[in-house]
Amino acid sequence: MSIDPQEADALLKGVEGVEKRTRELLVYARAGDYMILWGVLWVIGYGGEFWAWHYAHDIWLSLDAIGIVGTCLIIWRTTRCIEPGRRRFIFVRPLISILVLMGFGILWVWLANFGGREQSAFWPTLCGALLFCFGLWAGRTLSIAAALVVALTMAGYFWSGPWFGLWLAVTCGGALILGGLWLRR
Amino acid sequence: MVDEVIHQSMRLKIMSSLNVLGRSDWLDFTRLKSILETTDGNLGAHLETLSKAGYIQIDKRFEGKRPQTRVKATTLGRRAFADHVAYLRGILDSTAE
Repeated sequence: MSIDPQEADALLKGVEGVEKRTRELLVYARAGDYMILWGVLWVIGYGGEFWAWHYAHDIWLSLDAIGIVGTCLIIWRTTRCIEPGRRRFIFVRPLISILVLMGFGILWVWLANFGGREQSAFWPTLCGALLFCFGLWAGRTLSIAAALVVALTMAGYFWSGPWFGLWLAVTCGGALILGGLWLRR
Repeated sequence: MVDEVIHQSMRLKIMSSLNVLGRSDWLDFTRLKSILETTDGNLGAHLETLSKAGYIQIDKRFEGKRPQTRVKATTLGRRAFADHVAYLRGILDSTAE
């Protein structure tokens, strides 16, 4: 049996296409779980901030703690088939990323002395910017979802008036949940 | 020498997908079906052929009450895939020279 160059070329392009699609789907399935988790937390956090702003600090501290524990559980669940040595490696990287992101955000919220409205807008835009960059490598659907979150946040910042917290809860939290469900479908 | 088992287009795609995963990682049948955009019957038949050749391992189990089929590439399968891709690249390289 002989294979001509055209057939070989077509088969190799097919291989590359499947490899790309597999990598994307694996990332999407994992990213979908994180997006749903943090989407729910954003809905509760920004909703809580809107209705009980006196307790906003405590609400967010509790939600961030839940978010970190939830993220660890998702990583544990998605990596349980992987050998222990590699698993530890995979487990540590997302966790460090979240802690660095939080540390960076907390540092600049403190240094720049943001007002409440700016602080509310800062976190979704920071997360959105990083998710957008991650999506450039991992799959453009993530970048589109991230751009949507940033656009909705800025639209709310300028035009939602006193409803900003509620706006963020419904649109940004909702966009993350819907995006996550779509990625996991 | 062409490996007839892996050369078939769908089986080559199956191996491409499984080769992306880590050595001990499994891929769900439904996820593989969605990646390859094929039918249950077609995928099942090709998986059976690859399994008989020793290129993949098929694991059928229950996750809760739901039956789940998952597959992973064996070392032999990964080697066969790498050899076949190298063979195809060789054909292209020889025409380019």
